[in-house]
Amino acid sequence: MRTPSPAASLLVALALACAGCESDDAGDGVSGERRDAGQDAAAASGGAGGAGGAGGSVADAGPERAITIRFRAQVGDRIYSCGESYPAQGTTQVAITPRAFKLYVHDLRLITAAGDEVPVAVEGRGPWQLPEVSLLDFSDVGDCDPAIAVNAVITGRVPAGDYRGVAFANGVPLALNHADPVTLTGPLQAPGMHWTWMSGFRFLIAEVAQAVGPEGQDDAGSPGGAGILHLGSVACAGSFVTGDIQCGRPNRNQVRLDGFDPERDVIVADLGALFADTDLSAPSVCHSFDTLCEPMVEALGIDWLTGMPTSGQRVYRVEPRGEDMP
Amino acid sequence: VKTWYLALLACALGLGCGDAADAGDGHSHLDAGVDGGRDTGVPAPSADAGDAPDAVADGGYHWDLPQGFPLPRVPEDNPMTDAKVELGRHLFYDPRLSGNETQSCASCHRQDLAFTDGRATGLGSTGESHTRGAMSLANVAYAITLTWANPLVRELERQASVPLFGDQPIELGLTSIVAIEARLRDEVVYRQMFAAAFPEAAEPVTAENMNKAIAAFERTLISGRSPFDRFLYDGDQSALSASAKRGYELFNGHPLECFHCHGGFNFSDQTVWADLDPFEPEFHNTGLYALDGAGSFPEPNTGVFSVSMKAEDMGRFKAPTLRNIAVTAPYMHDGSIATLSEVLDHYAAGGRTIEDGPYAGDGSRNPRKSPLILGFPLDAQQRADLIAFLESLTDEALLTDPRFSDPWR
Repeated sequence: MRTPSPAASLLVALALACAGCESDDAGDGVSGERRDAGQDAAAASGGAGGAGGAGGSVADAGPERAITIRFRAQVGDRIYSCGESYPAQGTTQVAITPRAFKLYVHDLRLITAAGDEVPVAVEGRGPWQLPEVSLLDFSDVGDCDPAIAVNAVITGRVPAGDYRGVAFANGVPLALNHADPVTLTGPLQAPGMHWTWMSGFRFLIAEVAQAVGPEGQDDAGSPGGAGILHLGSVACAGSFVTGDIQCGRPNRNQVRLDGFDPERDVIVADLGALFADTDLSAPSVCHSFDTLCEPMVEALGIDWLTGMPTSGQRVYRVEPRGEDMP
Repeated sequence: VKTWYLALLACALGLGCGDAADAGDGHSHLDAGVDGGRDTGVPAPSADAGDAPDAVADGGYHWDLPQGFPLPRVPEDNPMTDAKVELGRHLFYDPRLSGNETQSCASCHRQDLAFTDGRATGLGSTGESHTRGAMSLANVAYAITLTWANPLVRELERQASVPLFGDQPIELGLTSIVAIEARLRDEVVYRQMFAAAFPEAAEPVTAENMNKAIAAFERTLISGRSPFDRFLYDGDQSALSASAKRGYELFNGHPLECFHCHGGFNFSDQTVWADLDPFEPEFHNTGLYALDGAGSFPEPNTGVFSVSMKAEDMGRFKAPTLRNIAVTAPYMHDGSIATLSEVLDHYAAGGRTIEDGPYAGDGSRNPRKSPLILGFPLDAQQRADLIAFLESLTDEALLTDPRFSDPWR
């Protein structure tokens, strides 16, 4: 065989134009949890502060202690329960029935009284946690499918100290998001979370069905439902072969909540707030491309046009744990 | 490859065709045919056909490549071996690779149909329809991208997860890597075959290795033994009818110039091989639809736009290989054209006009249409000649080769 033509080489050079489109993520250095490395390795690295992130202040701040960050799904001021009906939701104030609510969290930090951010060294924990990313699944709180486990906490270690706030991002870090899914483990093997044809993960799945009809009967079984958000990085380009993937719209937010005491408080994830500016009387199916995504994405603190984080998130807030919570 | 295009264009424009057209790359055999054709009216076989016909890959795998075919590109972490290919063949034909054990890869990629399914759009294991048709796997080893309109999917090892595990739509409907690994380990044949295929692995039966083996088998599905190949590479003048030879001239000549998108030994501009640095793949809007003034295609088949979200990618799809095209009807990404003759109508008109219904529109006026889709006159004889040529690309050996058949039967 002779060598390819110079014209083909020129095309290669022309093809290398896009670079630096995505700069939101400090997780580039994360090596990723390979399945061959085993889940034990993931578990072992958690307690040693191996979670990466901002780093630095952990060693200075005294001995570590275990910590549990608690989340609670709600629809407005009511506790989320799958299959329950919630009246007056969305712009048209219709009744909805939640069907699924699950999301990834990474880059979890606590905020000290002085305002410093201290990364939480997240432990590998069963199907829910890797040091790099955790999965929260509220989907089956309630009666949708009691056989399926739920997870509403993230466990890890932090230096002993007085914490007054919490910060985190939704989504899967860039370094893991476009890895070959069959090589991943833990929460990155959760059914339904990988978006194979998009070659990345769904960061957040929220699905509600509208309850309609004069008798108020539930037509939740109708195809499409009334509100579906599958959030993920879109407008991606690049090559898995070189590992060089950039996404025009990363769609990872940055949430910062003040006044959070990890001993006393929970982080509320409000499904009602997520869909507050969406018309739920008609099918509103968002796969992160469609313009009807805009109010959902903006509610999560993401700029619709750029996919970059804003300070305008309205889905998460701090509330007291309440006496009935463990 | 591009040199060859330019040379052909020069021929078509009457600028003269010298031997320089041959010098550009080792796979520009078709230009020799056209060169010859200018004098004799019949394309002559290329003098340099026959490069690397029996290349041996790492791992000792003998490709047994057809004349004129370059060595396929193989990922460094998945070298070809006979054991791996045979394992991949077993997996490819195994319905246990679907959630409900009703379908295998071969359900949508049937050997007798050049590894397509004869349907307009695919039908998954749970009854859900795909929005696009199953692409032929013939010569998929040479493809830059692997699906109709996704620039991200470029490795067979990764692509396999889409039909296996994808849920939008559900195809084979696997949901859990742990579950499929357990299912594979239950099969004693697989325990032996995985160990032979992945001798270094402490636990060879993994989903990752499943995908690797399937990819290795898919790379063996080389198609290059058609009548056209016998004519061009073996010098068998009797392999093509006079009509097919005229069709070949039309295909490569002005004003049809089909070769721009369907050029090279694989009749696709998205072709790559072992020692060619892959260039960025091109996708084309051929004016198949025009739903509005902006040239939109019907959702969800908006082409590369559905991945890139760039307006200029609306309606852009991959030009598939034309090898075996006569047995892979219906045509286009959505199976919306039933016959090759109607496909020619589409291109002759410079885009398809749909008179009424939700998709009504004059595709020839699609503002995002490729500038290469200009339309051309085509009389009845020319139409028959082109179809005869396209039919000469059917590789009966591929359709019947026992190496590619169901090993479980």
